[in-house]
Amino acid sequence: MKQTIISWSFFRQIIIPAFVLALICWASSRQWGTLPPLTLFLDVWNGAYNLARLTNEPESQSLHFKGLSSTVTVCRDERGVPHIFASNQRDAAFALGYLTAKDRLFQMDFQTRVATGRLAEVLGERAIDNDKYLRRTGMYLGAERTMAVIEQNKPDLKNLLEIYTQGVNTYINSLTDADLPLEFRLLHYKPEPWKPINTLFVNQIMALDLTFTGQSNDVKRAMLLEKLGETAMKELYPEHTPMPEPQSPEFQGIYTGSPKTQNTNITYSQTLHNTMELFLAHVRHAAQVFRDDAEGKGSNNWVATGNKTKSGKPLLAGDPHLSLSLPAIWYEAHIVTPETNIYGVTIPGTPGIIVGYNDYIAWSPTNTGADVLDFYTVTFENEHQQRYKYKGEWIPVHEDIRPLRVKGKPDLADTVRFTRWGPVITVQKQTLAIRWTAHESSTLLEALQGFQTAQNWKDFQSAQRYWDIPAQNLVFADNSGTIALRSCGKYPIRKKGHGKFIHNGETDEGEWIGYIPFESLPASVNPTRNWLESANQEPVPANYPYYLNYDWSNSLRAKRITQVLASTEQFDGNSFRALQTDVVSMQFYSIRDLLEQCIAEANINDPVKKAALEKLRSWNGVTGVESTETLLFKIFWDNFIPSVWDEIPDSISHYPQQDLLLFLLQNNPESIWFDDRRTPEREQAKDICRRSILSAVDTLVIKYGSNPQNWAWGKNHTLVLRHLLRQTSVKPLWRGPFPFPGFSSTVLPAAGWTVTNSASWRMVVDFKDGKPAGSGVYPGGPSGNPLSPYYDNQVSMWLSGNLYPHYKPGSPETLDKSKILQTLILKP
Amino acid sequence: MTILLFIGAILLTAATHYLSGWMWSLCIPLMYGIFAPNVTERTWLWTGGITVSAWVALFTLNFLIAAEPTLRVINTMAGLIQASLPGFILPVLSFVFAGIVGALTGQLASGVRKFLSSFNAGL
Repeated sequence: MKQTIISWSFFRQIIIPAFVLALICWASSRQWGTLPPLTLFLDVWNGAYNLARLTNEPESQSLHFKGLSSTVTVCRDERGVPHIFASNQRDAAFALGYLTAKDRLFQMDFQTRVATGRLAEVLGERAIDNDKYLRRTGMYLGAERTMAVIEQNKPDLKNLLEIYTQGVNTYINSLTDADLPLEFRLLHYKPEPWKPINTLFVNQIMALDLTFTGQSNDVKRAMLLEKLGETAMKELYPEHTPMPEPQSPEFQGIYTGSPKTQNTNITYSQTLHNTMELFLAHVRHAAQVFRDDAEGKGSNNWVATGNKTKSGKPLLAGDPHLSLSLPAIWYEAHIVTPETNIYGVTIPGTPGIIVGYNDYIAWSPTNTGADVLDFYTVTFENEHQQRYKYKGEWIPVHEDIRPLRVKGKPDLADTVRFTRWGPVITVQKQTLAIRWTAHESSTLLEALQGFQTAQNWKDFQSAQRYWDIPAQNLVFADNSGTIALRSCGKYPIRKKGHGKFIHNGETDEGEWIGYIPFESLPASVNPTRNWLESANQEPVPANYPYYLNYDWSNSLRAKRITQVLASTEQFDGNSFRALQTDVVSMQFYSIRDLLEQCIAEANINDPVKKAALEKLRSWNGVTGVESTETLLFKIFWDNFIPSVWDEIPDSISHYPQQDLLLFLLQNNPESIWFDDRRTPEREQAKDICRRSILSAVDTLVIKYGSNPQNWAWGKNHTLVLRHLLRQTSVKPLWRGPFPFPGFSSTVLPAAGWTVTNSASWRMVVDFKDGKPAGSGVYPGGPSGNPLSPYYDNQVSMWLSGNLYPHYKPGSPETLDKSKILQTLILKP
Repeated sequence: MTILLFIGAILLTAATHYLSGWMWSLCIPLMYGIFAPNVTERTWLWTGGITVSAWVALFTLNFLIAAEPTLRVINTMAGLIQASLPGFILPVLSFVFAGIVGALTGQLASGVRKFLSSFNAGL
C-alpha cells in the first residue's frame, strides 16, 4: 500500500510537472507552421531583444580575420555609412563583403533564393509555384554559365569573388543563433555559406526586375493581334513613338544593321491562346512574391556641361526608379584604395560600386527597356515533352532535374526542360519557350570593375563594352569637362521580324543572329546643346536601323526634363536636386486645352462640383500633396483611359502607349479610336473627355465628400515602403503610408494610388571644385535590422526631397572625427 | 539569510540565463526549491518569484544597454503578434511566461523535495 502511494505521489508531484515543463520548453522553442518560435518574442535576453543590443556597437573595435593581407580601417559616419580604407582592392572587397553581410545578410540570402527558385525551402508550400516559375525564367542558367567562364578564364575576377565571399562568410561564421537577423529567426532558418556564384545570382535579380517583368507584353500583343487584326495593331502599337524625345540627338553611330521587318502575319491556335492567358495569370501571381508590375519603374538621369552650370563645370544627376523595399535595394559605401577613391551604392552581394563617382568621373544608369527576351511556341511530340519540333525534325529536349525542397515536406523533383530557345514554361500542359539575354554568360562584373578605377571617358567607354545585362543608358561626366550618354548592353538581332509577338518555334525565323554592335548603340558625347538626359523614352530617332523595342515608357518625363534643361537657367546642385523631385504633370498639360473646353461646356449647377471643375481649369499642373486638383485629375484619367481604349479587353490590360493617346488628342481628336463602341453615336475625343470629367467630379463628391480638405492629394495618394518579404504579416517592418506628391509621369515617379515603385537612389554629382563631390539619399538606411535606428534613418530626408552631402575623405588620417561614430579595424 | 539566499538565486538565475539561455536558468530555481531551508510550502511562489525577478532584471539591463532599440523591439514584436497590440504587452507576456515556467519549476522542486524527504525517512 505504501509503495502504491509513493508511486502515485511521485507521478503527481514529479513526473507531471516535469513533463509539463519539458513540453513548454519544447513547444516554445520550435516553429509551428508559419509561426515563429514563441521564445523569439518572450525571451528577454536571447529573443529579439538580443538584436536590439547588437545595434549598440562599441565606438572602436579591432578584429583579426584570416584572408586579409593588410589592415583595413572601416569608419561609420553619423548616417551609418561605411567608409573602407584598404591598401589593396582585394582587402577592400573582403571588408565590403563582411560589412554588407553584417548589415544586409537576410537580403543577400533572400535574393539568392529568388534567383535560384528556392523560396519554398524557407517559406514552405505556398512558394512552390513561384519557385517553379522563377526556375523557368532560366536566371540560374546565365549565372552558372558566367561562373564557368570566370573559373576557367578569368583568374582575377575569380579571386575577387572569392575574397568577397570570404568576407561574407567570415561574418556568417561569427554568428550565434541569437545573433541571427530577425527575418531568419522569424522564418526559423539559418543562412547558408555564401558562394562566389551568389554574386552572379544577385545580378540576375536586377536583370529580372528591369528586363523580364514587362516582357509579357509580347504575349499580350499576340493575344491582341488575334482580336484586333494586323492593321489596327500597327496603328495602336507603332514601331516608334509618335512623340519622340530622342536621348542622343546628335548620334553619329555606325549603322551596319539589316533593315527591320515586322512579322505580324501570325495566327495562333486556341490552345496557344489558352496558354497565353494562363501565362499572364502566372506572371501576375509570381510578381506578387518579389517584384511588382513595371508601373513606376524606370529611371531618370541627366548631365550638363560647364556651359549650363553656375560653376562652369559639369553637373550630373541620376535616380533609378525601382521597386522600393526595406531593407533598401541599395547599400551606400565609400571605398578608398591606392587605385581609387569611390563613393556610391552597390547591391548587397556585389563587390563594387554600381552607381557613383570616384575622384575623376561620375555615372548613373537608366533602364533602356530594350526587347531582350522573346517567346517561342513549342510543339512537343507527345505529352511526355521529350522531343520538340524544329525545322521539320524532332529534337530532344535537355532536362535539368533538380530537387525542389519544401519546408516541412518531402523534397520534390523539379524538371526544367530546355529547347534550343531556352527553358520551357508549362502552364497546365500548355507550353512556351523563352530566350533571354540573361541566359547567356555575362561580363557585367568586368564593366563594374572598370568603372571603379576609370579616370576619363576613354577608360569608361572601354569598360562599358563589357556591360551586357541588363541593358542600360549610362550618363557620364568627368573632371576634364566631358559629358556623355551611351546605351550599353546586349540587344539581339533576330533573323526575321522582331520580338513584338510570339515567334513560331518550329522555324528558325525567331533565331537570334547576333547583337547590335557597340559602335551602333545610341550614344552622344559633348553635344552642342550642352546637356543630355534619358528617362526610359525611345532612345533613338525613327531612322535608327535596328529594332530595339516597342515598349517604351512615355516621353513625358523626358519632355519635362528637356523643358527645364533647355531653359536659359544656369544650374547648380540644388536646381538639379529640385528637378529630381519635380511634380509638374506633363500629362495634364497634354490634355489641358481639351479639358478646359469640356469644363467650359459642362452645365453643372452643384456649387461644390462647379468649384472643383473651375479649380481644375485654372490648375498649374503641380501635383503636390496639398493639391486638390490632382485627385480630380486622377479620377478623370482613370475614367478616360479605359473609355478610350474600350477595344482592349480588361483581361489583357495592355493599353497602347500613352504617347499615342496624347498624340491623337493633339493631332487627331476625331480618330475612330475615340468612338465608344457601346453607343450608336460616333464619339470624338471631346465627347469621351466630357463624359469622363463629369463622371469624375460626381465620383469625387460621392467618394471623398464635399469638403475640399478631403481632396488633398497627399491624403489619398501615399507611399509605402514594404519589407522585402512583402507579407502583410510582417507589416510592423514596413514604413508608411506617407503622403506622397507626384503623378504617374512626373519626374518624381509616383504611379498609382499607393506608390511602391519610385526613386530608389537620388544622386547629384557636382564637379565645381575640380573633383566630383556628391550628395544623395535613398529610402531606407544602411542596416537591414528592422530594430536598428539605421534601418530607416534616411526615409524622412528622402521624403523631403533633400540630399545628404557625401563625406569622402581620401585617407583615415584626414578623417573629421566629429563625423565618425564608429571605427572598426580589421587586421590580418 | 533568507533574503540573501533569495536575491542570490535571482542573480544566479539571471546570470545562467545570460550565459546559457533561459531553459538552463530554470535549474537555479529548481535547486532553490529543493534545497533552500526556508522553503517548506508554496514553493511555486518562491521559484516563480525568482524567475520573474531574473527576467525583469535582464529586461532592465537591455534598456540600460540599448534603450531606443529595446523600445523598437517591444513595439515591432508586439505588432507582429497583433497589429493593434500595444508595445508594453510584450514584456508583460514575457514576465507571465517566466512566472508560469518558474511556478512549474517550483511544483517540480516541491515534488522532488518531498520525494527526497520520504526517501530519507524510509531509510
